[in-house]
Amino acid sequence: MSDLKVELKQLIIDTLDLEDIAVSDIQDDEALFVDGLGLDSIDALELGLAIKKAYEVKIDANSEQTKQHFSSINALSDFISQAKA
Amino acid sequence: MKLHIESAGVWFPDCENGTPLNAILSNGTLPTSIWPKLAFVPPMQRRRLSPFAKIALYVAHQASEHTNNDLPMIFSSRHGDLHKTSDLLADLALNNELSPTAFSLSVHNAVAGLYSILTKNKSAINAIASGQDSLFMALIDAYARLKSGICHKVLLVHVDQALPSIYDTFKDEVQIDHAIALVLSLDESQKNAFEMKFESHKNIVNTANQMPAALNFYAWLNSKKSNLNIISTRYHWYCFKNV
Repeated sequence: MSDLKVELKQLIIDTLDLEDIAVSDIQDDEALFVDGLGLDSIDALELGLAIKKAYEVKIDANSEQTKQHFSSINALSDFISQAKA
Repeated sequence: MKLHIESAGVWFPDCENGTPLNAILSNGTLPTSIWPKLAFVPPMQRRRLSPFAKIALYVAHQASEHTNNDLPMIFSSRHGDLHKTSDLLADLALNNELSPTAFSLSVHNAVAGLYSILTKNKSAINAIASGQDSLFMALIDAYARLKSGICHKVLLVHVDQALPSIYDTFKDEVQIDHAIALVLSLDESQKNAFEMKFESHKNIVNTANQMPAALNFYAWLNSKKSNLNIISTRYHWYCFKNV
Protein backbone atom coordinates (compact mmCIF):
# COMPACT_ATOMS: atom_id res chain seq x y z
CA MET A 1 0.00 0.00 0.00
CA SER A 2 1.51 3.34 -1.01
CA ASP A 3 2.18 5.99 1.60
CA LEU A 4 -0.24 8.39 -0.06
CA LYS A 5 -3.07 5.88 0.23
CA VAL A 6 -2.40 5.28 3.92
CA GLU A 7 -2.20 9.03 4.41
CA LEU A 8 -5.52 9.54 2.65
CA LYS A 9 -7.23 6.89 4.75
CA GLN A 10 -5.96 8.52 7.91
CA LEU A 11 -7.09 11.91 6.62
CA ILE A 12 -10.58 10.53 5.95
CA ILE A 13 -10.78 8.98 9.41
CA ASP A 14 -9.58 12.14 11.17
CA THR A 15 -11.53 14.66 9.10
CA LEU A 16 -14.81 12.77 9.26
CA ASP A 17 -14.48 11.56 12.88
CA LEU A 18 -14.79 7.90 11.94
CA GLU A 19 -14.11 6.79 15.52
CA ASP A 20 -14.71 3.09 14.99
CA ILE A 21 -12.82 2.70 11.73
CA ALA A 22 -9.09 1.93 11.29
CA VAL A 23 -6.87 2.48 8.23
CA SER A 24 -6.93 -1.26 7.60
CA ASP A 25 -10.75 -1.23 7.41
CA ILE A 26 -10.78 0.93 4.28
CA GLN A 27 -10.15 -0.97 1.03
CA ASP A 28 -8.28 0.78 -1.81
CA ASP A 29 -10.94 -0.08 -4.39
CA GLU A 30 -13.99 0.17 -2.15
CA ALA A 31 -16.59 2.88 -2.79
CA LEU A 32 -16.15 5.72 -0.32
CA PHE A 33 -19.66 7.10 -0.69
CA VAL A 34 -23.06 5.54 -0.11
CA ASP A 35 -22.44 1.79 -0.57
CA GLY A 36 -18.91 1.07 0.63
CA LEU A 37 -17.72 3.19 3.52
CA GLY A 38 -21.13 4.89 3.63
CA LEU A 39 -20.07 8.53 3.48
CA ASP A 40 -22.61 11.16 2.43
CA SER A 41 -22.72 14.50 0.63
CA ILE A 42 -21.68 16.57 3.67
CA ASP A 43 -18.68 14.23 4.04
CA ALA A 44 -17.84 14.91 0.39
CA LEU A 45 -17.70 18.65 1.07
CA GLU A 46 -15.72 18.19 4.27
CA LEU A 47 -13.27 15.82 2.61
CA GLY A 48 -12.89 18.11 -0.40
CA LEU A 49 -11.94 20.96 1.92
CA ALA A 50 -9.44 18.81 3.84
CA ILE A 51 -7.80 17.54 0.64
CA LYS A 52 -7.60 21.04 -0.78
CA LYS A 53 -5.86 22.18 2.40
CA ALA A 54 -3.53 19.20 2.79
CA TYR A 55 -2.44 18.79 -0.86
CA GLU A 56 -3.11 22.23 -2.31
CA VAL A 57 -5.04 20.79 -5.22
CA LYS A 58 -7.95 22.48 -6.96
CA ILE A 59 -11.27 20.66 -6.82
CA ASP A 60 -14.10 21.65 -9.12
CA ALA A 61 -17.25 21.12 -7.04
CA ASN A 62 -19.57 20.73 -10.03
CA SER A 63 -17.71 18.50 -12.43
CA GLU A 64 -18.54 14.87 -13.14
CA GLN A 65 -14.82 14.14 -12.97
CA THR A 66 -14.72 15.19 -9.34
CA LYS A 67 -17.28 12.53 -8.56
CA GLN A 68 -14.98 10.01 -10.23
CA HIS A 69 -11.91 11.30 -8.33
CA PHE A 70 -13.69 10.77 -5.01
CA SER A 71 -15.07 7.33 -5.82
CA SER A 72 -12.37 5.31 -4.05
CA ILE A 73 -8.98 5.56 -2.38
CA ASN A 74 -7.35 4.40 -5.64
CA ALA A 75 -9.08 7.13 -7.65
CA LEU A 76 -8.35 9.80 -5.06
CA SER A 77 -4.69 8.91 -4.85
CA ASP A 78 -4.37 8.90 -8.69
CA PHE A 79 -6.06 12.30 -8.83
CA ILE A 80 -3.77 13.84 -6.22
CA SER A 81 -0.59 12.33 -7.71
CA GLN A 82 -1.50 13.69 -11.16
CA ALA A 83 -2.53 17.10 -9.86
CA LYS A 84 0.73 17.39 -7.94
CA ALA A 85 2.91 16.10 -10.78
CA MET B 1 -51.31 27.06 34.03
CA LYS B 2 -50.99 23.47 35.12
CA LEU B 3 -48.82 20.89 33.42
CA HIS B 4 -48.57 17.15 34.06
CA ILE B 5 -45.27 15.33 33.74
CA GLU B 6 -45.44 11.95 32.00
CA SER B 7 -41.70 11.30 32.10
CA ALA B 8 -38.45 13.18 32.45
CA GLY B 9 -34.74 13.08 31.71
CA VAL B 10 -31.73 14.99 32.97
CA TRP B 11 -28.02 15.28 32.27
CA PHE B 12 -25.41 17.19 34.28
CA PRO B 13 -21.69 16.63 34.86
CA ASP B 14 -20.99 13.23 36.44
CA CYS B 15 -24.68 12.21 36.57
CA GLU B 16 -23.86 8.93 34.85
CA ASN B 17 -21.61 8.03 37.80
CA GLY B 18 -24.49 8.51 40.21
CA THR B 19 -23.60 11.97 41.55
CA PRO B 20 -26.92 13.48 42.72
CA LEU B 21 -28.08 16.80 41.28
CA ASN B 22 -28.27 18.37 44.75
CA ALA B 23 -24.57 17.67 45.28
CA ILE B 24 -23.84 19.53 42.02
CA LEU B 25 -26.11 22.43 42.97
CA SER B 26 -24.63 22.91 46.43
CA ASN B 27 -21.00 22.21 45.61
CA GLY B 28 -18.73 25.01 44.41
CA THR B 29 -16.49 22.88 42.24
CA LEU B 30 -17.95 21.07 39.26
CA PRO B 31 -16.84 17.66 38.04
CA THR B 32 -15.50 17.52 34.48
CA SER B 33 -18.15 16.81 31.87
CA ILE B 34 -17.77 13.37 30.32
CA TRP B 35 -20.17 13.29 27.37
CA PRO B 36 -22.71 10.47 27.12
CA LYS B 37 -22.01 7.61 24.70
CA LEU B 38 -25.46 7.48 23.05
CA ALA B 39 -25.53 3.81 22.13
CA PHE B 40 -28.96 4.26 20.52
CA VAL B 41 -27.52 6.47 17.77
CA PRO B 42 -25.89 4.63 14.82
CA PRO B 43 -22.10 5.27 14.75
CA MET B 44 -22.11 7.02 11.36
CA GLN B 45 -24.56 9.58 12.73
CA ARG B 46 -23.07 9.74 16.21
CA ARG B 47 -19.69 10.87 14.92
CA ARG B 48 -21.02 14.30 14.00
CA LEU B 49 -22.63 15.05 17.33
CA SER B 50 -21.13 17.84 19.40
CA PRO B 51 -21.23 17.61 23.21
CA PHE B 52 -24.23 19.96 23.06
CA ALA B 53 -26.07 17.62 20.71
CA LYS B 54 -25.08 14.59 22.76
CA ILE B 55 -26.51 15.81 26.06
CA ALA B 56 -29.68 17.04 24.32
CA LEU B 57 -30.26 13.70 22.60
CA TYR B 58 -29.40 11.85 25.80
CA VAL B 59 -32.21 13.50 27.79
CA ALA B 60 -34.68 13.44 24.89
CA HIS B 61 -34.14 9.70 24.60
CA GLN B 62 -34.38 9.20 28.37
CA ALA B 63 -37.72 10.99 28.57
CA SER B 64 -39.32 9.56 25.44
CA GLU B 65 -37.94 6.07 24.97
CA HIS B 66 -41.12 4.42 26.26
CA THR B 67 -43.51 6.53 24.21
CA ASN B 68 -44.38 5.22 20.80
CA ASN B 69 -46.03 8.33 19.50
CA ASP B 70 -44.46 10.88 17.25
CA LEU B 71 -44.16 13.45 19.99
CA PRO B 72 -44.34 17.10 18.98
CA MET B 73 -41.29 18.80 20.39
CA ILE B 74 -40.10 22.06 21.88
CA PHE B 75 -36.39 22.60 21.82
CA SER B 76 -35.14 25.31 24.12
CA SER B 77 -31.68 26.73 24.65
CA ARG B 78 -30.44 30.10 25.78
CA HIS B 79 -27.16 30.03 23.88
CA GLY B 80 -27.56 27.13 21.46
CA ASP B 81 -24.43 25.26 20.43
CA LEU B 82 -22.27 28.30 21.14
CA HIS B 83 -19.02 26.33 21.21
CA LYS B 84 -19.66 25.33 17.61
CA THR B 85 -20.88 28.79 16.63
CA SER B 86 -17.93 30.59 18.17
CA ASP B 87 -15.47 28.20 16.47
CA LEU B 88 -17.16 28.98 13.15
CA LEU B 89 -17.01 32.72 13.87
CA ALA B 90 -13.33 32.42 14.75
CA ASP B 91 -12.70 30.65 11.42
CA LEU B 92 -14.56 33.41 9.59
CA ALA B 93 -12.54 36.08 11.39
CA LEU B 94 -9.33 34.34 10.31
CA ASN B 95 -10.59 33.96 6.73
CA ASN B 96 -10.46 30.19 7.05
CA GLU B 97 -12.92 28.11 5.10
CA LEU B 98 -15.79 26.87 7.24
CA SER B 99 -16.28 23.20 7.99
CA PRO B 100 -19.37 22.14 5.99
CA THR B 101 -20.30 19.65 8.72
CA ALA B 102 -20.12 22.24 11.49
CA PHE B 103 -21.96 24.78 9.34
CA SER B 104 -24.74 22.33 8.49
CA LEU B 105 -25.41 21.79 12.21
CA SER B 106 -25.02 25.38 13.36
CA VAL B 107 -28.63 26.58 13.32
CA HIS B 108 -30.60 26.79 16.56
CA ASN B 109 -32.93 23.93 15.67
CA ALA B 110 -30.21 21.60 14.32
CA VAL B 111 -30.34 19.24 17.31
CA ALA B 112 -34.13 19.08 17.17
CA GLY B 113 -33.77 18.21 13.49
CA LEU B 114 -31.24 15.48 14.26
CA TYR B 115 -33.57 14.04 16.86
CA SER B 116 -36.48 13.98 14.43
CA ILE B 117 -34.33 12.19 11.83
CA LEU B 118 -33.00 9.65 14.33
CA THR B 119 -36.44 8.81 15.70
CA LYS B 120 -38.29 9.25 12.37
CA ASN B 121 -40.49 11.77 14.16
CA LYS B 122 -42.52 13.86 11.71
CA SER B 123 -44.31 16.04 14.27
CA ALA B 124 -43.94 19.79 14.56
CA ILE B 125 -40.92 21.18 16.38
CA ASN B 126 -40.52 24.67 17.82
CA ALA B 127 -37.11 26.02 18.77
CA ILE B 128 -36.89 28.71 21.44
CA ALA B 129 -34.19 31.03 22.74
CA SER B 130 -35.28 33.52 25.36
CA GLY B 131 -32.34 34.46 27.55
CA GLN B 132 -32.61 33.43 31.19
CA ASP B 133 -36.32 32.70 30.61
CA SER B 134 -35.77 30.09 27.88
CA LEU B 135 -37.01 27.10 29.87
CA PHE B 136 -40.11 28.92 31.13
CA MET B 137 -40.98 30.28 27.70
CA ALA B 138 -40.70 26.72 26.42
CA LEU B 139 -43.10 25.61 29.18
CA ILE B 140 -45.54 28.33 28.08
CA ASP B 141 -45.24 27.10 24.50
CA ALA B 142 -45.90 23.56 25.71
CA TYR B 143 -49.00 24.71 27.57
CA ALA B 144 -50.27 26.69 24.57
CA ARG B 145 -49.89 23.71 22.26
CA LEU B 146 -51.53 21.29 24.69
CA LYS B 147 -54.35 23.68 25.63
CA SER B 148 -55.16 24.42 22.00
CA GLY B 149 -55.73 20.70 21.53
CA ILE B 150 -53.34 20.29 18.62
CA CYS B 151 -51.56 17.59 20.57
CA HIS B 152 -51.98 15.61 23.78
CA LYS B 153 -48.33 15.29 24.73
CA VAL B 154 -45.23 17.30 23.98
CA LEU B 155 -41.56 16.61 24.50
CA LEU B 156 -39.69 19.61 25.89
CA VAL B 157 -35.90 19.57 25.75
CA HIS B 158 -33.80 22.32 27.28
CA VAL B 159 -30.03 22.32 26.92
CA ASP B 160 -27.19 24.74 27.62
CA GLN B 161 -23.46 24.52 28.12
CA ALA B 162 -20.93 26.55 30.06
CA LEU B 163 -20.05 29.51 27.81
CA PRO B 164 -16.87 29.31 25.73
CA SER B 165 -14.19 31.25 27.65
CA ILE B 166 -14.15 34.04 25.05
CA TYR B 167 -17.62 35.03 26.31
CA ASP B 168 -16.64 35.09 30.00
CA THR B 169 -17.51 38.78 30.40
CA PHE B 170 -21.16 37.97 29.62
CA LYS B 171 -21.58 35.40 32.38
CA ASP B 172 -24.61 36.18 34.57
CA GLU B 173 -25.28 32.76 36.12
CA VAL B 174 -23.37 29.66 37.17
CA GLN B 175 -21.74 28.08 34.12
CA ILE B 176 -22.58 24.40 33.94
CA ASP B 177 -23.26 21.92 31.14
CA HIS B 178 -26.80 20.62 31.52
CA ALA B 179 -29.89 19.31 29.77
CA ILE B 180 -33.38 18.37 30.89
CA ALA B 181 -36.30 16.79 29.06
CA LEU B 182 -39.96 16.55 30.04
CA VAL B 183 -42.86 14.81 28.36
CA LEU B 184 -45.81 17.03 29.28
CA SER B 185 -49.58 16.70 29.05
CA LEU B 186 -52.80 18.08 30.53
CA ASP B 187 -53.84 14.60 31.64
CA GLU B 188 -55.34 14.98 35.14
CA SER B 189 -54.83 11.28 35.86
CA GLN B 190 -51.11 11.93 35.82
CA LYS B 191 -50.44 12.95 39.44
CA ASN B 192 -46.94 14.30 38.84
CA ALA B 193 -47.86 17.90 38.05
CA PHE B 194 -47.07 21.53 38.77
CA GLU B 195 -48.63 24.93 38.31
CA MET B 196 -46.90 28.00 37.03
CA LYS B 197 -47.58 31.76 37.10
CA PHE B 198 -45.47 34.72 36.13
CA GLU B 199 -45.19 38.48 36.29
CA SER B 200 -43.09 40.64 34.07
CA HIS B 201 -41.05 43.43 35.58
CA LYS B 202 -38.68 46.13 34.38
CA ASN B 203 -35.30 44.98 33.19
CA ILE B 204 -33.33 44.37 36.34
CA VAL B 205 -29.72 43.35 36.38
CA ASN B 206 -29.53 39.93 37.93
CA THR B 207 -26.21 39.57 39.68
CA ALA B 208 -27.11 36.76 42.04
CA ASN B 209 -25.07 34.24 40.00
CA GLN B 210 -27.87 31.68 40.24
CA MET B 211 -27.82 28.15 38.92
CA PRO B 212 -29.38 27.91 35.45
CA ALA B 213 -33.19 27.88 35.81
CA ALA B 214 -33.54 24.45 34.18
CA LEU B 215 -31.42 22.75 36.85
CA ASN B 216 -33.11 24.61 39.72
CA PHE B 217 -36.46 23.68 38.24
CA TYR B 218 -35.57 20.03 37.77
CA ALA B 219 -34.17 19.76 41.31
CA TRP B 220 -37.34 21.39 42.66
CA LEU B 221 -39.59 18.95 40.76
CA ASN B 222 -37.81 16.09 42.53
CA SER B 223 -37.78 17.76 45.94
CA LYS B 224 -40.29 17.90 48.78
CA LYS B 225 -40.65 21.67 48.43
CA SER B 226 -44.01 23.01 47.28
CA ASN B 227 -42.83 26.38 45.93
CA LEU B 228 -40.20 27.58 43.52
CA ASN B 229 -39.57 31.26 42.79
CA ILE B 230 -37.16 32.24 40.07
CA ILE B 231 -36.37 35.83 39.21
CA SER B 232 -34.77 36.61 35.88
CA THR B 233 -33.89 39.96 34.37
CA ARG B 234 -37.42 40.34 32.99
CA TYR B 235 -39.77 37.95 34.79
CA HIS B 236 -40.72 36.53 38.12
CA TRP B 237 -41.69 32.86 37.78
CA TYR B 238 -43.80 31.17 40.46
CA CYS B 239 -44.18 27.40 40.47
CA PHE B 240 -46.28 25.30 42.87
CA LYS B 241 -46.83 21.61 43.36
CA ASN B 242 -48.57 19.41 45.92
CA VAL B 243 -46.20 17.59 48.23
